[in-house]
Amino acid sequence: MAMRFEHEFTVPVPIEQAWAVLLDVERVAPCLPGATLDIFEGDEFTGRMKVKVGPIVVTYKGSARFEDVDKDAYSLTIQASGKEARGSGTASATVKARMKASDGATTVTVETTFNVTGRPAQFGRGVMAEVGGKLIDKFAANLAELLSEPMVEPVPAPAAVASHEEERHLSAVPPVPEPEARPAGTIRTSRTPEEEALDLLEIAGQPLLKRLAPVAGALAALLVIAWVIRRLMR
Amino acid sequence: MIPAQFDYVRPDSLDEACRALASDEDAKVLAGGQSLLPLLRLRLAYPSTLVDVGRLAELKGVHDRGDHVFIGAMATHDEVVHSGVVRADCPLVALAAATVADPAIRHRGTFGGSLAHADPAGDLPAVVLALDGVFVARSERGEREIPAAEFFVDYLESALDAGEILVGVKIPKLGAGWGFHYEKFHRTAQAWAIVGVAAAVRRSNGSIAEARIGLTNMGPTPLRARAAETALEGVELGDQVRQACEEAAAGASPPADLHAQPDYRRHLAKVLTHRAIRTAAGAP
Repeated sequence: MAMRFEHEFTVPVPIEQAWAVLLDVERVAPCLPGATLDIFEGDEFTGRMKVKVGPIVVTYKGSARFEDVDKDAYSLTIQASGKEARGSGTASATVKARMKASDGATTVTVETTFNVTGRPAQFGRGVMAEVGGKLIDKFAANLAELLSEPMVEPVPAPAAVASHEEERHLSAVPPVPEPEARPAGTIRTSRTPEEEALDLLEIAGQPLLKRLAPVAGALAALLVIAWVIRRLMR
Repeated sequence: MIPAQFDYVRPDSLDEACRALASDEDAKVLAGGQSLLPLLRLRLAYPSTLVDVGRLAELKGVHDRGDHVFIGAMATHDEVVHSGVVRADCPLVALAAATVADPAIRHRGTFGGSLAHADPAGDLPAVVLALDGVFVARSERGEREIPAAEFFVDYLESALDAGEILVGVKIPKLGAGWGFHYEKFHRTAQAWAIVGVAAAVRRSNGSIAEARIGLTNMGPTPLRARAAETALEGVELGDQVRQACEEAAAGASPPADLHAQPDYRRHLAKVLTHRAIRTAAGAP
């Protein structure tokens, strides 16, 4: 189930500056609601992505990397793919970002396609499109805000707060062995509050339940039949 | 089909329950379990602790409180349907609760649980919204009241904080002269509403003096059909009502699923609003 989204926005900073920020994955990653960066090495980074809708929680673990980084054309592609932390489903995304200078400001075009398999995909197309759409909308909005802000050196104070938030986030997912590489997120300069990141709204539990209830019923029936057959075979 | 491991507590007092909920950010309140347990069994939800509120006296029963009816969060749908107070003073709630799922679920499922779940396809959210109910929530920090218009935030998201427990809902008594109806469109008796319309109408001299309309499953939250409410003001029963009900889906962004596309849901909203208003107004 593939979905495609396009966003365009203009930020009031020169293109060189916006481009530098876009390449800074530690600042860009938190723009995606629910995303946490674990390791960042070279062009590759690994992390987690938590989608929470009411009582429903799906966590993906995966990696992403920069591709086709073209400094002259100010365009790049991010390829990401992940696997459900507690299931067999997968999610993958391709994000193509292009920048164009326009009179001291920068016009950014973000084109995202993503694909989901497994249980969450069974939520139904309409729902995933809506969830995905919300996620990407939020990402684009956060990115626009991040790119617009004047260049500042990260100060230690927010770093402390960020690492505290990090702990809280980690407690919600299975503990991961501490990687040798320094944990990212300590330079979380995006103002995206963790709260907001965790509470990505909007997915269908209801169509899901409607859809899965018969499946559950069928499974139960099968189990009963299997049990009866086993009894009879004795 | 077996839930992931979780801790289970069943406090005897509301304060204790608030403490249990506050002490674990991944804790979840368990009321009747008719929505939460399927999610657990399907392994779509992984709360670390379930706080069972089944023993809390403050959450139980239906009470006549003068100008409003207080429906405890743990009152089952069946209790609500058969409550004399509800039937007399806010019959719309009983009408809608009677359409919730099937008898087994109505005996286990609770009024507060289905509202706190904030499913826009649930029947009760639109009803409480139409009646301007007030939600009473308790946490360690104390009690607060949340008007229905602010309670439903987004899909499956209510205004309740992580540490808050829904105690009950105050449904204002509308007084004499009002008629009510809940019109639900679904394929099978126990299914969720494809679209539902909760209507309350005050008649005077053969025309509609005031109308309140709540829409089920027409967006990520239950909605008020404000445009139709305004259009219905002062309208005489007859063809003009149908015309006013054409506004029912204004501003709604209904979902698309296996059952219906958004344009079909918009159409349904208009037709069902017309039916609900006519019935509520006592039109022949």
